[in-house]
Order: sequence, then C-alpha cells, then structure tokens
Amino acid sequence: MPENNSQSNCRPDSCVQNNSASRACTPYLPTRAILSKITEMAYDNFLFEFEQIDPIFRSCLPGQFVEIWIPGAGESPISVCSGSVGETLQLLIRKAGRVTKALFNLKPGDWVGLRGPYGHGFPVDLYKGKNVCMIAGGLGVAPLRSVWQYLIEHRRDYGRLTLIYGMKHSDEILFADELIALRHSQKLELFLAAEDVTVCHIANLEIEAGRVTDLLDLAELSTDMQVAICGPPVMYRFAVERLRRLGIADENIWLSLERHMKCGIGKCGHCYIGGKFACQEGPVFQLTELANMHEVIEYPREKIQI
Amino acid sequence: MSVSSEKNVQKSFTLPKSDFDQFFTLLAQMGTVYAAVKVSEQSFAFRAVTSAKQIAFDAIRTILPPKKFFYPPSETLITYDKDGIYENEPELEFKVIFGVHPCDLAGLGIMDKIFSSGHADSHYMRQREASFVIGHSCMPDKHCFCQSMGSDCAKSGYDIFLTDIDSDYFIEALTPAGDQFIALAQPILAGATDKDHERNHHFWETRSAAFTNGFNSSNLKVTMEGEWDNKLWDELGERCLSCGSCTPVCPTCYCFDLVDIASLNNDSGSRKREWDSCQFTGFAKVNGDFNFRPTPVDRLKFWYRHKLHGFDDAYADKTCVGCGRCTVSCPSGIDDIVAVVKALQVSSAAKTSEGADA
Amino acid sequence: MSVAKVLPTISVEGLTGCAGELLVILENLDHLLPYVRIKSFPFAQSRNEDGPVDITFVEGSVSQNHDLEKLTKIRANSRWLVAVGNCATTGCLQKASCQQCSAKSMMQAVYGNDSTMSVLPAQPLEHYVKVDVSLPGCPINATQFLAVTASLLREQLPYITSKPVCLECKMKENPCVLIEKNAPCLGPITAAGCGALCPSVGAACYGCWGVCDEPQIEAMKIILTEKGYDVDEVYSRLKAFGAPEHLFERMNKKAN
Repeated sequence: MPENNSQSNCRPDSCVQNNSASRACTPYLPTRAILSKITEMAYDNFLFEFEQIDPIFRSCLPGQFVEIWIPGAGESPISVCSGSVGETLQLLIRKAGRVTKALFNLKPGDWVGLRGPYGHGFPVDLYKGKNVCMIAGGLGVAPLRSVWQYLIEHRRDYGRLTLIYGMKHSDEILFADELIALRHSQKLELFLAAEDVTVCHIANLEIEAGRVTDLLDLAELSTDMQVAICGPPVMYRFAVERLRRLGIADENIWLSLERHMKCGIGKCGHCYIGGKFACQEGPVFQLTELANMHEVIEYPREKIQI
Repeated sequence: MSVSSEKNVQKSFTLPKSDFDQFFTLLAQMGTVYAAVKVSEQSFAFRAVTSAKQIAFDAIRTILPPKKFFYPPSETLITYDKDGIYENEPELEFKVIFGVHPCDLAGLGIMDKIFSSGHADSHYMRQREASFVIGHSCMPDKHCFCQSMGSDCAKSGYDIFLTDIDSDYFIEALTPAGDQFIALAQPILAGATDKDHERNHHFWETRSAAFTNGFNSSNLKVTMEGEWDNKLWDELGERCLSCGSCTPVCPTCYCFDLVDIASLNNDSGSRKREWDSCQFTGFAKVNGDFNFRPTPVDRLKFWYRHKLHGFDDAYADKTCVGCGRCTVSCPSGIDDIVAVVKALQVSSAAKTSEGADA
Repeated sequence: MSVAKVLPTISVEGLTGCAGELLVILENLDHLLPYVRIKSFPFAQSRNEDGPVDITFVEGSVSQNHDLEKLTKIRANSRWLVAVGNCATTGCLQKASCQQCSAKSMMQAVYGNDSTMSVLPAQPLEHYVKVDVSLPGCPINATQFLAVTASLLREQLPYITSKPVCLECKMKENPCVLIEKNAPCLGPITAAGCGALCPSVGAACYGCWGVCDEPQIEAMKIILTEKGYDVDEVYSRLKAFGAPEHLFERMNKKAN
C-alpha cells in the first residue's frame, strides 16, 4: 500500500517562481518576466521586450515559441523573433485576440508569465553549408526574423541567403529599419512585395506590387535551396506549388504551421494536426511530413492553377 | 489470456464472498472507498461508499470512467499573488477505487503514459499516486468490445484484482502496495488451491466466449485511411450534435482547456484546466476565426481516428479500450464504434476485391 | 490628509425584463463593494447619478421607445457596456413572441386599444448599440458575473465560452435525460454556464441560456422528431429563448 501521504516532496515554496533557480514541478508554471519596452512597428503590431527572464529562454532556437501569460487573461503562444536570446526576450505581437489585447494594457515594469521555449523550430543546423531562402507572408515575418538573424550571426556557415517577404499593404511592413540595413549590408538578397502598394513610408525600400509567389520567379532561386516558409495558411498552397515548379524538392521545404497551442507541452490536444502535436513535433514541419496527413490545408494535394 | 495466466503473479488468494464486509472494512482503513453505485434507471457512477451494501457489483460501466479521480473535470493548476506564482498542491484525499474493470484499467494505463511522458503532469501523477485501485472482473453486455481492442485482460493499472468465481473472489496482487494490503488481509484470505486456479481459469474462458460484439482490429489504420472519404461519415455528421458527450465519458480522452480565474482584487488569481472536447466547434480554431475542423464530420472523423489508431503522441497506438461508453452516451446513436468499423471494413473489402478483379 | 482611493464606478440598469439579473447582481453586491463605487442602480438604491461610468450592466430587451432612449444614453456614458441575461443578449422570450405576432397586436391584446404605450419589436441590445461583453443566462450565473467584473476591472475582456450544456452534465456525471427519459432536452445545442441546472434534477434543458457556438440544430431536430416530438413543438422549444432566425431558415432548407 502506498504511503498515505498525499503531499509529494515537491513543496509549494520550492515551486515559487521568482526567477530563482528553483525546480518547476508543474509544467504549467510560468516564470515571471518584466515588460521593459514596447515599440510600435506598424498598425496593430508591436515589439515587446521583456527583461529579468529565466535563463532557460537563452536556449531559444529560431522558429520555437513561448507561451506568454497575462494574469487574468490567459496564455498565448508567440514565436520567438530574434536569432538569439540574451538578457532580453523580444516578441512581436499583433493586437488581435483577447489575450494579446490584454497585453496592451501593460506598461513597462509590469510582469507577465513566460513558459518555454517549446517545439521544433527551423533546422538551422541542417541548413549549414547550404543556400537558404526564407519566405514570409504578413506576420509570418516575425518567426523568420529569428531565422535570418541566426543565419547572419553565423553567416560563414551558410551559402546564399534570400529573404522574400510579402504583405497585403506596403504600410504594414514590419522591421523596416532592419530590412534597410540588411539590404545595405548585402548579407542577404531581399525581395519585397505588397498586394497594395502606396508610396512607401520608409524610404530606400523598394516594394513590388504583387504577391509572394511573383517574387519567387524574380528571386531566381536555385533548385538546391533550403526553403523556410511562414505566413497565413492560404499562402502555403500557392508558394509550395510555385516552389515545386521551380524544381525545389519537398524535403527541402520547411513550413511553420499555426495551430492553437494552448498548453505547449503535448497535453491539451488543441494543436493536433494530422496526428501530430504542432507544439511538440512542430510548429515547423518538413513538407514531406505533411504529405500523408489529413487536415493539413497548407499541403497542396491537388494541382492548382496559378 | 486471463489474468491468472500471467506468470509474474506471485501469489493468489481467495476470499469467500460472505466475508466481503470484513474485506471492505480493511479497504476503508486505507482511505475513502469509491465504487460503482446505481444513480438512475440505466446508469451507474463511481461514488464514495461507506458500506459494501451500497456497491453495485453488477454495474457494467459507469457514466464517467475512473480517470475522473486523477484528472478531475476542473482543477486549479497554479495560483498567483503579487509576490509570486505557485503550483496548486491541494491536500489530497487517499482514494481507494473499487471495482475497476479491465477496459478501464487499460484506459488508466494509457492516461498514465500520456500524463507521465515528456513534460510530466504533476497534477495527474500526484493524484494517481494517492490511490489504491482494485480491479474487478465483469461479464460483457451487448456494447462491450474490449476483446476486439485487446483490453479485455487486465495487465496493469491495478494494485489488486478480484475475479468473481461464484461463491468466492479470486484475488491477485500486482504492486508492492497490493502485496502489503494482501498481507494485512491475510487473516480473512485463503491461499488459492489448484481448484481455485481452475475456477478462475474457467471464469475467464467463459467470459472470453461471452462477447457478442466486436470486430477484427488488425487493420484499423489501413481501414480508416482508406475509408477517409466514405460517405458514411457524412451520414453520421448529419446526425452529430457536436455535443461532445463522447469525449468526457471516454477513458482515454484527455483534452482540456486552460482558464484564468481573476479575483476582484487586482493582484491575485488562479489558472485552472477544464475538460474540453474536440467535438466542439471552437476546439481547432486559431486567430482570425480560421477553423481547421469546421464541420461535425471533420471533428467526428478526427475523434474516431484518435480512438482507432492513435496519434503520434506519447501513446502512439489505438486509444479505444472498447468500454462502449461512447455508444451508450451518444444521444444521436452515431458512436456505435463497432457498427462504424464493420461498415468501413465491408466497404474496404469491397474495394480490395474490385481491385483484384481488375 | 489621507486621499481616498478613487474606485472604478459601475451602474446596473434594467430595460424590459423580469429583473432576474438585477436580483443576482444585488445578491452579490457585497463581493463587489470593496472594489467599486455604485453610481447608479435604481432597482436597489434611491440616489443615483448620471454621467460617465466605467462599467454598466444592462438587463432586459429593447421593447419600448424609452428603452432605446435609455440605452443610447447608457452607451454614451459607459466605457464598458455589459449585456446581462438572455433578454439583453438575445431578446429572449420577448423577441420569440414578436416573431410569432406583431408587437402592436400583442400590446393591444394586453393593454387594450386605448393604451398610449409606444412599443418596438423586442430586440437584444446589440441590435442598436455596441455591446462590449455579452453574458447570457436566465438568470445569469453569479460566479460568471463576478468573473466578468473582475476581468473588466483589470481592463481585460473575459473568457466566455459557449460550449454545450452536455459538457457540464458530463462533468457532473448526470444520467442523460435525453437518452434515458427521452425528454426533449436541448442541452446539446444550448450554451453552458448554468451548471446543467435542469438535467441535474432530471428535467430537460429548455435552452434558457440561448444557443451554444454553432448549434447543430438540424441534428437536434432529427433526434427530437425520432423521439416522437412533432416538428412544431421542436420549433417552438428552440425558438422560445430567442435562437437566431437564420438557424431555422437553415433547418427548413435542409428539410426540403
């Protein structure tokens, strides 16, 4: 008979998370972080910076995500958007849902909870020695920023780098200053397109009128490229079709898929996708992994006319 | 295969049914005893009992499986105040759960695996540890198909197991806790004789022959994949209420929602989890109201697939244990897993023979 | 000199309804009092103030011209407007009645031809004004009401789900009255929140919290007619608490 001892050796006081190096007992326990800076990017998109973060977040890899918790409102999974995490953690957040809206009531000095990092990101190790093309649609540029920053930090390990970034309206461009600097640095080839182009409020950034798929032709991709894609579900079908036509093999195409990753640790079931947990196996999947999965609308099964 | 044929079972005992009251008293000394009691004309539920008289020994299935003891419908996970965030560790009552059938023991085994793997779920594990589980034999009714799912013989998940052999119980212990209890109960137990073993064997043989419901489960994955677009799904979808009744009653459904409970004073609050269901329309919605499983058909197929051949999760195998709860709990009568599988298999076989003809 | 802490203000107002929500709020007022100042609550206090307020809880449907005037003024003065109870969120019984005969003929039947009342076909609040939070219920659940208030006091929108009553029934391990008693239970298509009040005592859910998210109304009709309920009865049950008209159009289309 087990000891009639309902208390485990995991005492509440050892579970207090004040950024001390205490052991987390429940995997749902966030650590505190302090909001240090909010920068408006474009429209409803803001870059949030957090300090006094748990050292665990220094292990963040490009394409991974964290759960940010606003007490009272709830948690939201947000992709890491910087190539490496040091003293501070940056998250690009759109004022969209109930939880993210609550975040906008906070001011520097307020605390939030963070859990993570979770999931499998883009395979930056596998990309080593190869040409890499990043394709971003809309807010999908945030997770890919972690990729390009990482690749540029380790520039010598990688071949030709291309960034293709499409958006609805040219005014919605995110990380414009960084993109200008990138274009000048010539560390990567940059292609920008917007379905709706008005006079760009950022000088020195040429934005083509069109879609991401149009840029794919312009960019003169080589067939040996590794491709990292992140954007709205509808973009994947068209982008993947075009990439295939350009001769890029499915095993070289990597997609970051959005599902509702509520718990982040493969328990709550919300992010199941074709039999896998997006929060564990994903959110980045190799296109070949998706071939036999149901409910993956991002994977084009039938030929589509473009 | 019967429980008794397990070679690793060290010792077996018998208890005359007439002495069950004394046995119950010993159980009650460990903690609160929970057992199936009749709650309506057709339904049973695990409830706290104080006397053996309250127990419905003939209950085939309870409304909710015993997962509710370790993974309650609603539970607080963390609390916080202005100084910190804390794991919620309530004082746990030691639970003695009597009368868990083989299908439910298999269900607990699957839940154990899911909650203990990877980022282990301390909330589930703690409650599981604070329990003593007594398995109990049963005879199948027309909805039972545990035999098809390979969960008709208890292999794990219990501390001791009782097989009903007419005037006696045949008792086996599996865990150290079970052994300890047996030692405690020694005065009222008798060592099992060869004859008792024979009676036990006979019971399980009789039981195996008593199943009237079931199917061949060797090809479930192939069948589900091949029949993904079978129009049967649309027919079931027409009737599906998306009420989610099939999931809370399932011994292996574990999906949950996370909810913040704000308190009126600004600084404190808690975060809890509540059972959720993949059958609800909002389950797979993401930002911008995009729904990856928008129709009842999508959601129903999703659930059937998880049950019949599993996901690539911690428990990468079929998660249906054949208890028949979904079948009896579905107001629309569309969760007759046996009927659905058989229909899909017929269609699948027809395709194969067409292929062979061509 | 000590400076009194400025508390957020709330108001509680009623339009056309049974005052059930007002009662629930009144019963729970002592929980709120340490954290808010009541600016206006005509149902409970005699001295009430006009002017800007942080949160206004509004009960009842808009069924008369003066309801509309009152609501317009409330909206203009309130930072958060919370529709409480089914009359305010769906129009409830009043709207259901107005779908069966005209508001005018109903008024004449009840008040006679000489009445000078000016009536409108009953509508929920959001038919006329922007509603920040809708809290259904008949009456509302006190715990949910306090949770909504707590969220709004933190400037957060509350998490209100519309999962079906069946979930709450199962969580309480109730025997299913739809299956066991063949009772015309609307639990599968009704929003939870009441704690499965009726099925818990063996009675059929009659849908008083309004419909759940994307109710499978066609399937509900199939199940109930199979149990021997005639279609008209199914319709009137479904309509009683103001289920949106478009659901029935969908149901009829399927039937044809």
